Amino acid sequence: MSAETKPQLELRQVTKRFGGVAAVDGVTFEVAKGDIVGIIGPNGAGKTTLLNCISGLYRLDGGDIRWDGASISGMAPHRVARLGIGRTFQIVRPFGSMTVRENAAIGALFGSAEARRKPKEAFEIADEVLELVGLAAKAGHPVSTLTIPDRKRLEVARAVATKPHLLLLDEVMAGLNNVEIDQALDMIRKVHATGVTVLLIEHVMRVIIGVCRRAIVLDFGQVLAEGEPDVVLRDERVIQAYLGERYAKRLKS
Amino acid sequence: MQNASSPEPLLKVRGLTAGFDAGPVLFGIDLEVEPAALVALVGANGAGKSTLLGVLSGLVPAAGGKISLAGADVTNERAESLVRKGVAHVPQGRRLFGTMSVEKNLLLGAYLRRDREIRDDMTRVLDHFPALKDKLPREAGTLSGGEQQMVAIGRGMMARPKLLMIDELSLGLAPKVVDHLIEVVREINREGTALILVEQDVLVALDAADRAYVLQNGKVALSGPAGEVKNDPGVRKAYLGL
Repeated sequence: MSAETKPQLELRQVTKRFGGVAAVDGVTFEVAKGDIVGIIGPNGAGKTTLLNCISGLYRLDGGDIRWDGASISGMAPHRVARLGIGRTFQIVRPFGSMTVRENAAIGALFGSAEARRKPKEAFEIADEVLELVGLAAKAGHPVSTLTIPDRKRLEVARAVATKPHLLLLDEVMAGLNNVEIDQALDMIRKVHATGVTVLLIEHVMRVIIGVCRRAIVLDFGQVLAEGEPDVVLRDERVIQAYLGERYAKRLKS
Repeated sequence: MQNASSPEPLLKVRGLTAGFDAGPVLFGIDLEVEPAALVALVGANGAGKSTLLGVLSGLVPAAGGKISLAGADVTNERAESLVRKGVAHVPQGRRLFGTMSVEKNLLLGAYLRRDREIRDDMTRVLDHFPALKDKLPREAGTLSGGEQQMVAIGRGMMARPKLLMIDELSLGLAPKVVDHLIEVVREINREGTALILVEQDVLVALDAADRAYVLQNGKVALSGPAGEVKNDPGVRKAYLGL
């Protein structure tokens, strides 16, 4: 009926196997337009594999992924990107000899939903995006001079420059201290405020509690728990499988 | 010489400076690690923590200052010589040989040793990390992040170090896995190995350590017992975000 109630992203029984192992095993969930959802879970639970399924890097072995109501299963990664699904990678691979601005412009040139952009327009988008992520002052710097937090920002900038409707973030806070994380959270809030839906993977609970409206816990490729972060992080099964007792105590205090 | 009241520190660093082509990174670092101490080294990204570990393990040249190991000057000694003398480095991001077996990765830590106790130390590593026992023939790159970190720490232990330096133990690992690894690291420490723990999860490091050094723009901004550093208002604001 109304378009508002239809989920933007819909996963139904998504399955991905490697050899005999089901890395993602019948995962079903929905993401509404404008939501911020966090995916957490033990190392090896299938989080990155799931992101790779959504962004088209992996072909599904079962189930279906739908975007605005239409199946995107089996679609090539560049076509998924052009639909408006942008992503970052855990290991950042910027073009080291190019400037920050040039790196951001690449996202605008090649990930665009519209017909090919002209370089001038791509640089305009790059400037806009660098302002948004807080890298404008370093636009002319070679990437090789950036600190780790700034490299993470650039990774987000490149993805945002593709003008996504949905942004998939894979551990962009790893290796940051709490204060650096808080600054990065501000960046994510700003990106979200421009109307972008966010689905992010993190091991840092400060992030999940700080910005996510909903958390999905994966364990052995399956959804172990789902709900508001406050509730999910107090779930005994989640503490057992993922958080551990010490963290659970830290959370309570 | 040495006596009980003032033991010779295992590691003594005085006025250490170092840098790269792009410019200096460390400006006159003073640092001491007592035998069997557990020292946390914390600070923002870019403060110079990994560079300091690099200098201590002979990977980055010192431009000035002095490093002593058990009283002997080892400034700018080569990495292999420092490993022989008991300094092992577990680098950030684990840096395993992904297509080699777990067992070979562990044995590489003992590459310079010619003694007959290498197998005993392998047993010791597996006692600390029982999860690796049935994974010895597996390619290291196929292990989970937590298991790979176990291999990286185990590889460091295989050098039978007096000082083990671990760079970002918690990077990309689930909270429960971090807790487990910290517990094992404390066991290793209790068995007599001194440790330097570089961490972004400052709370984890300060809870585990005896002493802490806070690095800021290439200088030691603060040092002392870990409990005091944890309660320092500046540290709480700048690193813990409290």
